[in-house]
Amino acid sequence: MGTLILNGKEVEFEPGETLLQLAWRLGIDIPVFCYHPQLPVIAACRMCLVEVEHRGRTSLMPACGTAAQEGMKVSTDNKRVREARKDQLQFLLLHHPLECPVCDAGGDCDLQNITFRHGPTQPEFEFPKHEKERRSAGPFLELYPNRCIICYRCVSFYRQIEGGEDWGYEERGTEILVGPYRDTILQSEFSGNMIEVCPLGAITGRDYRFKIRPWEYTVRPSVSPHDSLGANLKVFLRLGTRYGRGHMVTGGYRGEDHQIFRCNIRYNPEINDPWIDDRSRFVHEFINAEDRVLYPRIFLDGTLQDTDWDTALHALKERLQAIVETYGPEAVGGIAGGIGTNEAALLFEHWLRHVIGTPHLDSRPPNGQMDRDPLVLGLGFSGSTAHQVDIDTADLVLAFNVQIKNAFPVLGPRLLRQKRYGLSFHLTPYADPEDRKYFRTHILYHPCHEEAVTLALALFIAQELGYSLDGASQIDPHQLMAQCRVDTRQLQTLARELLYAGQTLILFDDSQNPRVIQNLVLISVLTKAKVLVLRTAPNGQGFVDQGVHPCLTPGQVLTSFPGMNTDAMLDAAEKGRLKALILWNVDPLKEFPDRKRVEAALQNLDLLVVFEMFHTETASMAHFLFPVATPFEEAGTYTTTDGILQPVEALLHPPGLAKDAREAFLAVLRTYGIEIPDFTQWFQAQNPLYRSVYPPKETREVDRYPTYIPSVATLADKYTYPHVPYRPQLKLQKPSVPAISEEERHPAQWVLRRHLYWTRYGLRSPIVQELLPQHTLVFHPETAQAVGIPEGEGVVEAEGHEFPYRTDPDVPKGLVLLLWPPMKTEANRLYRGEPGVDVQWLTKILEGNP
Amino acid sequence: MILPLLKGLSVTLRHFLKPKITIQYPEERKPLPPRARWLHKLQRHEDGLERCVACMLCAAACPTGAIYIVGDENTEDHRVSHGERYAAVWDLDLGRCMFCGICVEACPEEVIIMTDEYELATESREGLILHKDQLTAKPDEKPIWAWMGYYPQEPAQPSPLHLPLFKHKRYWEYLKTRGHLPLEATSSEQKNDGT
Repeated sequence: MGTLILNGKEVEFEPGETLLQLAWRLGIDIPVFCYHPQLPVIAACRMCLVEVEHRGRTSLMPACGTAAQEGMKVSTDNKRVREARKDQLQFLLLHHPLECPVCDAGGDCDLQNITFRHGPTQPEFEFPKHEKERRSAGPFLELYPNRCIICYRCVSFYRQIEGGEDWGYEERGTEILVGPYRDTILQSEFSGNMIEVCPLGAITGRDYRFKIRPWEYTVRPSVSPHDSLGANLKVFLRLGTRYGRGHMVTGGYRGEDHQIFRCNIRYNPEINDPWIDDRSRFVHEFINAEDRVLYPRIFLDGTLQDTDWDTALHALKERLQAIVETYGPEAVGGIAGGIGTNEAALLFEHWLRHVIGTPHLDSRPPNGQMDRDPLVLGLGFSGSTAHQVDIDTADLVLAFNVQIKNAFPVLGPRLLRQKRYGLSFHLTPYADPEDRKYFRTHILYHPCHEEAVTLALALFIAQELGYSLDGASQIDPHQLMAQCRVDTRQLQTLARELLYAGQTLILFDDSQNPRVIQNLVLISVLTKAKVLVLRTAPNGQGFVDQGVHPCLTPGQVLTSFPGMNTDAMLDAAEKGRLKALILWNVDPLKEFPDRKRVEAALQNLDLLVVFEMFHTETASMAHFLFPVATPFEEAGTYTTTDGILQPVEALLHPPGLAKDAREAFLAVLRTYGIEIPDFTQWFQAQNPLYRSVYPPKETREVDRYPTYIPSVATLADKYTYPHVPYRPQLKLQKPSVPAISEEERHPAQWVLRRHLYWTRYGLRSPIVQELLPQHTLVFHPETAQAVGIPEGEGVVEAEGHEFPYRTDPDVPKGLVLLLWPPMKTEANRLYRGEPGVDVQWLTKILEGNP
Repeated sequence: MILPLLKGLSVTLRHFLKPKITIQYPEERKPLPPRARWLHKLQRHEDGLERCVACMLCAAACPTGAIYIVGDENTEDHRVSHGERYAAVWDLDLGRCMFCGICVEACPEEVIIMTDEYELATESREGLILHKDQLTAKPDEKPIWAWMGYYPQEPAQPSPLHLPLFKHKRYWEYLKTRGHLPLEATSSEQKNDGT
């Protein structure tokens, strides 16, 4: 603490505070271009010059880069400072073209605003301005070097926050150019942030380009629907009627003019900081996809026929009752895709578990059978013990087979920040070049040996601690490690670091085999590490909390009457034990492994009911198809993967007769004569976990950075269960992959790779079509040679379907990278959820190399 | 008794002999004052490309919100205007427009000109919404300049206010292009102009 004189008043400053921070804290306006609170000080624009009198000298200093010191006399608004600002703006405007009417930033531009307040009225520069050519940087960004004032903010962002290397400046002096080094697509999933980081219109976004001007839109808060991290968005849309100043219409309207124009950052320090990934920012056109389901449809006379909700729901009720009367309620099952609001999920659960009376419902991806959730066994509840912010303070982060860039991009900046001072390990079968920058150390193991490698790690930790675990005597960790071809020293180092590092955090996603999750939970319990479970479904955690789970009822209360999980339901359907299946926003034919089994299961059903937003392949097999709203059209709450409840509002009306899933399930319950007069009260009564935090506070206000009042309701405190001991009820099991000799081993193994835009929303958004991967399979050229197919690009055939492949020398030999989930392709004809590449065309490898 | 009747009739007779001020409206039309502000017209460049760059300042300036614009980007295959952007949609709701002309003043590209086309009645409300194709000048149409000397860059001409209105050459040219005058009248008036 010290004091200085600011504008004639004595003020106190914090240690380490700069003059700019001090002035802003006291509400004194100092214009800036290059300064950004989340970026290092650049001091390039010289807009923040203030007069500083210190130790007998008076000079103009940049406020952003000058630390406050005892005894300074600072003046932010005298004649000299005003003149300096005006002159500085003259210089910045030297080559800035006067094209504000056609510039996307016009009306929303720092340069415009600051010039208006502080600048010269007339430019004094009489000579012709520099002309630099417009450039393009991938499908999202369009650069206007003419407009650029060289503040280096974007470069600073790209280097520091995103960790990218293909953006910077070339040439010097007036010839300077800021942009990508080559005219290629940027290797970054955070490039869209540069549009917002740019203080003017030198970087503009393609989705928003020229469509609307800043004074026309309405801004509403929302939450990214693409991943379970729940990045906060500001959605820009035009509400109301087309003509007139009709901005007072609330609740949405849909028409040609009514669309989402862009999504920007909403600052939330608990989740996304002020950065969002390109998927959250640019993928929003799926709401107008051509294959939206518009009307409820019933399968009649061999085709699906349009009808209305009442008719369809009453017919559905009769069909379901007939099945329940004949085969009992346990012949009905429900699978949800984890896409939707918590409210709708709770109604779905209520309908199935209490109205129909079946215990079989699940929302998790099919990842092997296990009667109980390993997270519940180990931690006492199914969820994370850590928050995303804990990555920042963790001394060690262990990520287990997670794809950061392509599946959970919002974690990227946090992991980069953590990597600077902490340890980070990635235990993975394939070190993706795109993910290498996020971790210090990659420990590789042979693919499909996740269970063995986690078990070996757990045994090492137990040995180190001197514990003897149940069943451990039968398992030799060295043999396990030889089996999964992992470097023993590396794994032992990791085990020790996990034990002795201060705060440790384990990251993994829920698409792992439950036995792997069990081992990871065991490691976390042994090392007192926090666990961050990354749900692959956008609202996966919310669905588990609402009891769309075979062994948990709403509020994560263990049920005494557990049902079947997704895998078991598909098996039961195949064997004819399950007669009716209710699917909600899930496409098993395209998203689940082993297409043959899924086909057999779905064809064996007496009744297939599908609640879907898009006409998926499964939807075309349905007996009843109900249209539901997409994100941005539904109101309710989402829960992030680390248990933060966030409200969303309906920004648009769904098209046709489509309904918000919550309204749809309320209508379903109404056909059974169930009325819910006070929904909030009902929700609180049903879900004890959410009772104190529901409904979350409204986030109506969309504040501009940096003044943001976080109003998220946190579930962290509710996630400690007094009645469940913090002690694992786990037992060590021998790995299900049998120890096989080198000769017997498959020469090729699957590695599933996700892609940022290879999702149900990305595939339906025109803007990202250019970025979609073209090849289902990627492998080493030698693998191709062994099979006898040419190197380079081509097509292989399996089970009557063609799969494009590409050979890549960067992929280790013996790995086959498979694009997952299949979505547009039928790659689940190849992958059956088992280790080893077991398809016709690759069995030739075995013949070739005995 | 007869006197008042004659008195009354004399008024009738006097007006009967006076020059007629009524015109046969649909067939005959009175020339409007040159600064009449009726239907908008979106101008083109001389090479036939549209002038509008979809900056949407007219829509922002419009006090009734009658203008609706959606911008889009010119491509090499599909070039509509000179610059980068053009108006993909330029709609005008005549039900809202009050013909104040503020859009004309707001336009930085001199796209919008208000013409004297005032017969704008339609049979439906939808018909009151005019789209870009109805409002834009035809590609081969001669550009109408700001014919009132409204803008400073207007070529030096005697101010129209100093001439009898109907003698202003550009005005008659304008009326001719609108098809409001029979050809004979046009030629005689051109002679009258004396330029």
